[in-house]
Order: sequence, then structure tokens, then C-alpha cells
Amino acid sequence: MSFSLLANSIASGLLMGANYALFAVGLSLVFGVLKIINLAHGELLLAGAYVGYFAIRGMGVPLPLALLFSGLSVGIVGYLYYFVVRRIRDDELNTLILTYGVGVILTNLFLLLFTADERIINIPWLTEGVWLGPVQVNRGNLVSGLVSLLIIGGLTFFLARTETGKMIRASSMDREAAALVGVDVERIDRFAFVLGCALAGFAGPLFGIVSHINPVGGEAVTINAFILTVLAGLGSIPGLLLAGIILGLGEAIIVVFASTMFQGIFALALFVAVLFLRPEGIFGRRE
Amino acid sequence: MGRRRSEKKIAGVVTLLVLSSAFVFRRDPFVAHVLVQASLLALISLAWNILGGGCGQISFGHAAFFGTGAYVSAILTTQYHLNPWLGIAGACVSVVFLSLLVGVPSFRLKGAYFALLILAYAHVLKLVALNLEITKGDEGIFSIPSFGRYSFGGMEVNFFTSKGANLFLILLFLIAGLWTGIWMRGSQTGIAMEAVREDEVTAEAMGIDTLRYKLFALGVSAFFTALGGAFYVHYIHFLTPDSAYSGYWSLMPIVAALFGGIRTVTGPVVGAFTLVCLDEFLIKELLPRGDKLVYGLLFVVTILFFPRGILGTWVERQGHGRKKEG
Amino acid sequence: MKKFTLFFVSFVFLLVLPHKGFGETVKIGVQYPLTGKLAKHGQGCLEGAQIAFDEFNSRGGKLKAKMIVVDDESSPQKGVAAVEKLIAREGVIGINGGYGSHIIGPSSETAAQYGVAYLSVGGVSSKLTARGLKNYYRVNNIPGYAKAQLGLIRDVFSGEKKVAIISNSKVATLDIANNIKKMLESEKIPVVFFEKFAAKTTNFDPLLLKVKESGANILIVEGYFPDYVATIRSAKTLGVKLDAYIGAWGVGSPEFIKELGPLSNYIYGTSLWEKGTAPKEARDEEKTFVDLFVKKFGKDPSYLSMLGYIGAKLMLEAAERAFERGKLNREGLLEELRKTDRVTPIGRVAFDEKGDPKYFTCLIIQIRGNDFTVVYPEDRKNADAVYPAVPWM
Repeated sequence: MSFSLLANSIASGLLMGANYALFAVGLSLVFGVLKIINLAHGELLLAGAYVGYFAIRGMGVPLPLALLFSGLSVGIVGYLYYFVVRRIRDDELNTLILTYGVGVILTNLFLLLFTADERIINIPWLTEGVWLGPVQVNRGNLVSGLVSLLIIGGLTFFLARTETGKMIRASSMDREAAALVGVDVERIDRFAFVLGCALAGFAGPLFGIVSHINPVGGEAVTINAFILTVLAGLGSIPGLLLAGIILGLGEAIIVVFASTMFQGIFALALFVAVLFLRPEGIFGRRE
Repeated sequence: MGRRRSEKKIAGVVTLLVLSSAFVFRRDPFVAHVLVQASLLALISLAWNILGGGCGQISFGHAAFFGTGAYVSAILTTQYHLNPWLGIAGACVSVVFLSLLVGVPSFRLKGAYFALLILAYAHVLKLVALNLEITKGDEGIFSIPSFGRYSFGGMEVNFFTSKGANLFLILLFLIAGLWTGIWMRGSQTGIAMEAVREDEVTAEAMGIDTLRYKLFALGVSAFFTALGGAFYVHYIHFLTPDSAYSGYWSLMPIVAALFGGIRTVTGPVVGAFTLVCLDEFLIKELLPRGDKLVYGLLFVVTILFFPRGILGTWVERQGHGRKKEG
Repeated sequence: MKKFTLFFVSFVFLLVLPHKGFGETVKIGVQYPLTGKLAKHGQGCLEGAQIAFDEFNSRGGKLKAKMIVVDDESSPQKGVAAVEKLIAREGVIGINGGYGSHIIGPSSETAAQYGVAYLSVGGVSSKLTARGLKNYYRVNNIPGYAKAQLGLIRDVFSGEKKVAIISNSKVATLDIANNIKKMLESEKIPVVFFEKFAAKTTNFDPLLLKVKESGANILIVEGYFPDYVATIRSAKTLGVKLDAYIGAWGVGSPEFIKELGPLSNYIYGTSLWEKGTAPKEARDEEKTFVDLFVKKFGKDPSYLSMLGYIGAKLMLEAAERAFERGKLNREGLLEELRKTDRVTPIGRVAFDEKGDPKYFTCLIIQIRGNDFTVVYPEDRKNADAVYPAVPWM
């Protein structure tokens, strides 16, 4: 085994991990604040990916604009979606079934509207390799990874420093207590939910760049996002990035020494181990 | 007490209904097959609900028990040439054992964490099935035997060709599950399980050994789920990791239970029959391609307007009506 | 007024008459996964089958055909439901379709209980034909794919050859990989790297790095669309020096070029059929199909649509022969289907006693610019292979 094999694999694993975090951040935020597992998360992300696909490939919209556009349109969908979810939000199980149903509706809408064709958002300059010191990485992965850092950093800052962010944190820790001290928890919930959906939509086009768009691929995104959320610890946004990196790095190194066949086992073993040993997540706070 | 009696009445009506429909349609293979699918889903949904609705422990991964039951029976019958009835027995015993083994550590977790842990088990087991020699990997196991051919006093029953015979068999399992559920609910155990569901801390304080009751519910639930899985392989005759540990077996039982009503024992059965029959006979006829879209809309609407499920809502209305009369 | 009514009634009568009075209608079931994981494949095949039925019904023969479509939702138990529905409810006498061996298995077995012919185009597991069913036929199988890849490497490529094979762990792709590995080794062409990868692998960089270290100059990837996209991307990122990149199925679909653009250039793949590759005897048939397809769907047909078309058409032709013999029923159709032997746009089709195709071989295509060129076998090729060449160098 050469140095370049190991170093390159580590680099690709790091970037992949950052991307995983980006694709999970919407679900994690909603779960953390509203305690709702949004099982339609993956489908919302795909909706964003489709918007991005048609904007970029059909209309030649530049990437940053397409990202904002995807985030905005899925955010609007999320706003409508919230009013449906709100009606039954007190029952955990019913929210699961509702969000699952919304996912089924979206998947089948994609199939009807866009057919079962698989698509990728192919931007030529993003498919190049770039040298980062001694290693070569894919530019698309790099851009997506940097966006991930930006989003997660920005969101962490927002939650820690701004007035609204503090209210969100208060509400997510103890809803009743937050309401008692005058936080409009209803408004906070709505805001966090819509933001979570918009983040999923925003990540969509990047998903289309580093992976591929398939109308039935939403479920896998949701499950991965969930695993990451649990690893990170409920609602821990910076933890998401670290959890993603542990996963991405582990997967890459496993291929170096064995094969990709063990990646799945690794991710799940990590998941189960964390649930047993630190159910509050690797970076979660003990209650 | 009145609620329990009405539960029994409902279960009795449902038992009669499914049996008579099986009798009417036993010679119409298409309807019989649809009813088999409905009964199978009903059985697993009911089993899921013994743990979920009865004991408050939500599992997202019942495919783990379904798929393992299916694999055990398939392997015992194809590679060790056991009779399918013994295959089923072996499947049930080993899956109950497996469930208790994973149950002890898993019950330390609560709510969504427990639910997802079970889902992770299902994924791990699928990966195991994909990579083992004995399960034939991704290719899967072909030509799994059916329940065979018997004749009772001149009447020929061929499980290989007759959908009707299989329908009666799965209904037998379903009815056994249904009445086990009814019996459990009325017993001391059922009351203790309800206490665990409503408030675990208080139950513990009252001296209830919560872990024991949770394990009991899990064992029973796993037993009937494995029964369904083992039935499935001897009915379909093929098994791949994808079909054994398919998300269908984890999610649809929950959907059916919620649709029917998880606070009742019979609800999941009503839910499963309604969903499968609606899908096959109505939605698919009207919309050959967009049927799943309607399906999605259907359960969004149900959850929004009948959050206690069809049967749950109905039972509740009955109850209110009676109160007013009295 | 009365006269007009009379005229109108007789006019309507005349319109209706040829359909009801003189001809007969045969019902053929078409079962494909139109939703779920395999929806893409099922929908592609179905579109082709639709053309076969349209063509059959507009040819002016006495026999008309009715296509009854049922979606099996990519699930084995729904496949059984579909077959039961088609036979017991709709009364079809032959079934066409199925995609994926695990769905075709139980579906064809159910059809066997009724003695109804089941002709599939999307099930390649060797176990399907090992069951000894009398009603099961298919037009493609695994060895045909590996043979074509071997031919390309052995006969077309020149110079030193060191082959790396990576394969999706799905049974169909792994089956081709094992076949080609054995064939290459018996031809004394060294296979310097062989590894399977898990379905849904997202990060291919480490695996491609291993390929790079192995010193291979020819890479075979037995996989599916997402696998090709990801491996090509990784190979480009890492600058893996290769002389050829060979894929299996999926390379030959129009979306491959459409989605990958210049990144698809020079890639080789196996294909059952590409526009303009039909053997001489079947050129006209191919042209008719393509024209009808473009007219109906406004796009070029993929190999999946061609498969669906051929499956349906062979079934309909058997029905027609059975009709002429006065034996238009399950047995008649099955007997006639067994006798099939003709050159189709994907080559000669005839079945052995197990239901496997006797003459099936694949084409090797190479993408050039925005088009597919056929570079192997010799008698069907329309261009010379560009070798060495990969899109990223």
C-alpha cells in the first residue's frame, strides 16, 4: 500500500463525510426542535435536486443561484407542509405516518412528472480533479463539502448567537418552559420546520452533483440522515459534521484494507454501538 | 370492562367476516391471492401492535423478524430437507430466541431510539443474508417447497396449486394471532403491559417488572411475525435478501395498524384488509400507474382526520353514543 | 330525418362491425414493474411492448390483440398477484414481461400452474431456466454479455493487456464478472485486480485508487448507471491511466450520453441493440419500430424498449400462428412460441428445451461524441474501435 492510496482515500472520505452532514442537516434540525422525524426529508431533498437539475441543465442558471432557488422553492413547500403536520404534531407515531405518506406522494409525483430516468447534475468544471497538497480530490465533492462547512458553521452560529436561534434552542430543550418565559413556541416551530425543509432543498442540487437523482432514492437519504442524526446526538448540528466525517472516513479506510462490502456493516455497527454505549449520541449532552 | 367485551365482539365479527370471505372466494385465485396478501399483512400488523399498541414499544424494523423467519424456514426445508411444518416451527423458535437476545439490551432505549435500533437490526441482518453462503447471497433461494398435498376423505388439498388452501392456512394463523391478542389484553399480563405503555416510571414504582413484560410482548410479536415470514416463503417459493428484509415488512404493518387503530387488538386486521383490498380492487383499477400516489394521499388524510384509525374512531363513537343513551 | 338516422346507424354499424363481427381478439398480459425500484426498466420495456401491439393491430389482419398491463410494483408477491389477475380475471393466454429474476421466478411459476406461456426479457439468473418449467422462455441470458466483452478485449484491443474487473455485488452483474474472469484467464489474458463492491456505494475513490495501483490498463465495471457515473467521476478525479473503460448494461441507453455528456466519450459497453445495428434481415423491422416509437413517444427508443418490443412481438406472432391453426388457446400459443426461430433486430431468436435463447450474443458499443458506434462483433459493427482512449485523458 502506498502513501498516495491512503492519503487520497482519507481525503475523499473526509469530503464524503462533510457531504453526508449536508444531506442530513434539515432532518436533524426538525428532529431536534420539533421532535418530529420527517420521513419525507429525502424526498424534499430530491425535490430540490430536480429543481436544480432543470434550472441548471435546462435554463443554464449558475449553481449558487440554483441552490438558493431550490432552497426557496422547497422552503415554500415546507411552509404548506408544516400546516398539515401541525394538526397532529402531539402524537409521535402519527407524525411518522403522516410524513411517510407525504414521502410516498412526492416519490410518485416525481415518477409521474419526471419518469423513472436517472439523472445527474453534470457541470463540467466540477468533474475535474484538483490537487490539494499531496492529494487529488473531485472539485464537485470539494465545493459541496465547503458548502456543507458553511451551512453547518452558519447554522451553529445562528443557533448560538442570534435571538431567534436562542429561542429555538430554548424551545427544543424544554417547550413548556420556553413558552412560560414568553417564547412564541408556535412561531419557533414553524420557523425551524420551514428552515429544515429549505435546507434539504438547498442541499438537493449538490446531491445531484456528487451523487445521482433517482425518483425512488429519497428513502435512502432519509435513513442515512437519520443514522447521522443519532450518531451526532439529538439536534447537535456541529456533531453532525463530525459524525459524517467519522462515517465517511471509516468507509474510505475500510475499502483500503478490505472492500466496500463491509461499509454497510461498519455504518450500522457504529450506529448500534452508539445507541448502546451513548444513546445521547457521540456529541450529545447527557440529560 | 365494557370496552373489553366489545373488543371480543368485534374480533368475533372480524373472524367470521374473513372466514366467510375466504369461503366465498376460495376458488377465485386472484381474489384469494389478494386476501392472502391482506391476511399476511394483517398478521404481521397485529403482531407489531402487540408490542407497539399494547406495550408502547414502537419498532421500525419488524422486517428483521419477518425476514429471519423466512430465511430459517427456507434454509431448513431446502438445505436440510425438513418438512415445511417443521421449517415453520424452527423459524418461530429461533426468531423468538433472537428477539429475546436483542431485546434485553435494546429495551434500555426508549421511543424513536428503540424504533430505529430495531430498524438497524433489520439492515444488519439483510447485509448478513447478502454475504453468507447458506443464504445464497444476493441470488437468493429458489424453489422452496410448498406445504404439500394432502387428501382428507376424498377431498384433495394441494398447497402448491391452490391459493384457497393457502388462504385458509394463513387465516388460521391470523385468527390464532387475533385471539392470542384478545386473550393477552384481558389477562393480568395485558393490564401490566398497558401500565408500561401509559407510564413506565409509575409502573416500575408499582412494582411491575417492566423489562419482563416488554420482553414477553416482544417475544409474542416476533413469534407471529416469524410465522408470517415462514408462511410467505412456502407460499411464494423464492427468497432474496431484498424481498425478505424489504422495507414493506417494516413499514406497512405500522401503516395498517395506525390505519385500523392501535388502541384496539382488531384494528390492525381491519386496517390491513382495508388497505390491501382498496389498493388491489379499486385504486389499481382506476389508476394503473398513479395508484401509489392515491395511497399516499389516503393515509395522509386518514391520519389527519381519523388519528385513532378507522376502528379506533368507530369504537370511540360507539362508546360516546352509549354514554349519552345511558 | 329518418333517412339520416338510418344512414348514421349503418355508418356506426360499419365502423363497429370489423372489430366485433369478423375478427377475433387475443388477450395478452403484460406484467412489468412500473413503480418501485425497477420502475425505470419496466417503463422502458412497456413502451416497446405498446409499439408491438399498435403495430400488430394496425397491420390489417383478422386477429386483433388486446394488451392488458399490470404493474407488479417491483415486488415478488405483487408479481404473483399480477399473474393471477391476468389469467384468472382477464383471461389472457400468454404473459409477457417481468423484470428481475426474483420477481420473474414466482410469477412464471404461477403462470406455469395454468399452463400459460411466460416470456421474459429481464431475468438472467441461470436458476430460472434450471427449474424445468414448460412455459418459461427468455430472450437473453448472462453468458452472452461476457462473451462479447471477451471478444472485444481479445480480438479488438492490441498490445499489452492487464485487466481489472470491479463488479456490483448484485447477482446478475457478479455473474458476468465471474464469467468474464474465467474466460480471460483461459485465454491467458491476465486479470490483475478483481473486487466486488456493495450496491449503493457512494465513494469510489478508494476502490479506483486500488485499481490504479494494480497497474491495469483495461477496466471492466459490471454495474448499473449510478456505478458508472461514480466510477468514471472518480477515475477522472484521480487521473487513473487506462486504455479502455468497459461497462456492462446501461451504457447503451440514451440517458447515459445525455446525463454524462463528454464524460461518456470512448466508454465501451454491452448492448443488446442500438439504433442501426439490426442484422441485415431485420433492418426493415427495426426501422418500422424506431419510426413508430419516435412518433408515439417523441424520443429515441432504448435497448429496454427494443427488448419489450421483441418480447411482445414474438408472443403476438405465436398467437397469430396459433390463430391460423385454429388453436388460439393456452396450449396453442405455448406450442407456437416454442417453435419461434427468426432473425429479430437483436439477432436470431430460438429457444432450447429449457427456454434459454440458443443464439444470444451482445454487441459492444463505444460512445463517440454524442452517438453510439458498434465496434464488435465484426459482422454487425459500424465503426472501428478507438483504442486506447478514455474520456478523462
